[in-house]
Amino acid sequence: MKSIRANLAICIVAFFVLAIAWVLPAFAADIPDDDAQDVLIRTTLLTFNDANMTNNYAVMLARSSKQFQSQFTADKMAASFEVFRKNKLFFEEVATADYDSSEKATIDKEGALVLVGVFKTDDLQVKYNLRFVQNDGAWRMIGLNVDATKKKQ
Amino acid sequence: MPSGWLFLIISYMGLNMKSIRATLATAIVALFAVTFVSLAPAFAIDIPDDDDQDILIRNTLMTFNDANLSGNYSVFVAKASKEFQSQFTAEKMAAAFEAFNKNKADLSDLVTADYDSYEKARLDGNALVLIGVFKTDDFEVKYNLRFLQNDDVWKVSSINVDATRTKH
Repeated sequence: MKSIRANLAICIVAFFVLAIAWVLPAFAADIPDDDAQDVLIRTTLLTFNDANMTNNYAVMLARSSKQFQSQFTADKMAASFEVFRKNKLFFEEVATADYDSSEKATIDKEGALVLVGVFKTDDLQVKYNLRFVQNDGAWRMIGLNVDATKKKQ
Repeated sequence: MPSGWLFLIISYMGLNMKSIRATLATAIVALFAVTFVSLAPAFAIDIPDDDDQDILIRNTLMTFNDANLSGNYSVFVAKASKEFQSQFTAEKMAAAFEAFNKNKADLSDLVTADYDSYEKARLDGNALVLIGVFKTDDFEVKYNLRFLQNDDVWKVSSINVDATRTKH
């Protein structure tokens, strides 16, 4: 318990919507090109970071898919992501950071776009696993798994 | 007592009403928190390096974009300087930036876009001034951002964004 408290610099939070019935595509969606993937990843992580920095998840919720919105409230998100605020695991640098690695984008069996990779900033390593579904022709976040680790100085 | 004013311009670059409604392409919205009292420098402030300027610009514009797309400016206000917060509410911002929300001007591409041009960063009193232009496939976006240090962190004190939809 003591060491867990001491190591709260490392946290993994997963927030996935299990909504298989909704996710099944009515048509095959194309995987967005590399540039569009890059925009999706960075904007999603920055919106998440803004929410953590301000303890206000209303905007992130509003920007996510309707499937996500139907299952989560801003209050529930605030409780789930408390560890990011408590440990000040903030990563505005993701706006410009280079990828340390990334997996090839895939559409999973449920029809969701899956984007997985790692950023390294001066202070943090940020691993992300993001899932998106199409709502009215736009990719919207349906699942978010972020593992932020403070680098040793 | 800091004095302040809200400066709002919504300009449609000479288009008539009909074409405004049809295209709603160009909007210039400026929201300045002018806090003369707080601008008097009490100590020397360094201009952040190019990388940090880049991070400030893109984060500010992305937070602004999230606010416009969601119609919820509470996060933008929460991240802004205390000088800004003392003068503007989320509701006031929503009214000021209605054109962006109404036109669903999604500026997400700015997060990875190249700069078309930019001015050298400068200090105006205590305020850091960052000015430039991005061009994406869909928009030309001119920004004029000012930041003040709150507890050693640069926080936005005014924002002026001019987004023009490019013709295809």
